[in-house]
Amino acid sequence: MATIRNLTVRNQVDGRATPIPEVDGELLISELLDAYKAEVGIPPSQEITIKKKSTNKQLSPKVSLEDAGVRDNDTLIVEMSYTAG
Amino acid sequence: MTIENTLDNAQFEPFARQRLIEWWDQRRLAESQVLVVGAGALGNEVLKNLALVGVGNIYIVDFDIVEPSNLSRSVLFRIGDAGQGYKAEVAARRVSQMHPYRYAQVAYFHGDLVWELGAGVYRAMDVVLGCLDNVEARRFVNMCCWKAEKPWIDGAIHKLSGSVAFYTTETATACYECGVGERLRMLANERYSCLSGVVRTNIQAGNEPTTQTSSAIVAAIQTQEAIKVCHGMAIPGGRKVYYNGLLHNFDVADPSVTSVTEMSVNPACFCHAEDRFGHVTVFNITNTCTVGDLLDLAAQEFGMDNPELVFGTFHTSAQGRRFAITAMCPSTGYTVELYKPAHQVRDVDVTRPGECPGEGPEMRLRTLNRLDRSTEFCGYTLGDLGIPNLDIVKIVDGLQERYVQIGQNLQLVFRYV
Repeated sequence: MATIRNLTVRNQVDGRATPIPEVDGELLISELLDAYKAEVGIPPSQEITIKKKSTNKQLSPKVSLEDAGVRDNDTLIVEMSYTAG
Repeated sequence: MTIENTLDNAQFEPFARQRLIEWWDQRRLAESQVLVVGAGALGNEVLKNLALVGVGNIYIVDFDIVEPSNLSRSVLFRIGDAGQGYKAEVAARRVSQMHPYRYAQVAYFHGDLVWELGAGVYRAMDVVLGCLDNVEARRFVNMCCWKAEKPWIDGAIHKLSGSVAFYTTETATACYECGVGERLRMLANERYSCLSGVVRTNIQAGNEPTTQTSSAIVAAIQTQEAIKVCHGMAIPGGRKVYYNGLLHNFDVADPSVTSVTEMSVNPACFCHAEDRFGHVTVFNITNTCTVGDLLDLAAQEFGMDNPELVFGTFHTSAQGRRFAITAMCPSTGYTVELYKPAHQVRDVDVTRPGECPGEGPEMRLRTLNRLDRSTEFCGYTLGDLGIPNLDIVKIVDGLQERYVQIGQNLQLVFRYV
């Protein structure tokens, strides 16, 4: 079980950074997103996605942090999904 | 200077400034066919932009009427339109009036794009611009564009912000469906019953906070990308541009971060698993053709012995396009005859009546979406089955499968203004 250290999750909307000192690398991206929503008060109904800052590539919710290539000291950016037109 | 160039200069005179751009080709834009789905705040801005840059063939789809709340956010609507004008029609008329290119064609379709707009419409377009407000319509547009191998550009707004996603025909890039998880799928099917897929009658649509300014900005990005597509420029697909109108730079700690995100391809994507239309045979018929006549035509055209009509298999909403025959209470066998497209069946049509002592409020539908020449429905028209003009159906005989489009002419679908 790999532990990933010193992650930063940044909110695309307000730029706010949430530090994550330690997290299990086997945690699914979807689980990280759910935990993030709960932590910062985003309603569960709001669809959000996350990308790795260094690559600008969105991370699939079904894979683990480790399999998504998330490493120590990475910054992840949370983006909102909008639907209105 | 040739005669043709002289004519060009006269008709394209209003576009003199943009034609100074070295790669700009006004004739190409004049010949382009662009479909705009959704004529709300975003659609209005997109349509205004398309007209001003001189896109020559603009098709507009919307099912709504103009409401007072649209007036402050929609450049094409006027006070007198509120409460009575169809959005698509009013927008088409205003776009036609303001279009600087005298030979421009603007047409509209007032109706539900998910069920009433044939997939063949997408084949006729160079690019599709999504100005929608719901997941269901986005999923279906995405599927049609995927199968027809047409690019589409999806805009969305929220408060002062917004996003523009580019979906191309490359298999290796993400499509809209790739990002649709369980929650969005549920949201998309909110207007349908889980049990039978019939339409719920008591669904309240939520309103999202948006601004005129964010729709103008997002629409400008969409239009600019459409201009590139119409010029044959390659735009990378599976990418989304985020515009943050609050900060103008979402990552205050590091201004080098771009707002373009490469979306991830979902290996289990329902849309990526679908084949493309590829070669489509166009039958010069309309949806008033009967099932029997269509199958006879297919037998003759393709040399098939036992052709079978298969329709709506790639449909993303409810349980697909189906023809509903009966609704039956599973515990008592109490049956109601329907004989209409399943998307026209309302929950109140299949609610178990008081005299039936069965369990649960809703009856089960008996539906079909495959018919051969032995069917009792040979005398039904394609329209009776819910298949719109220009839709694309499959004709199957053993291992042989052919895509057939019901009619060719866009005038079967659109009204020109």
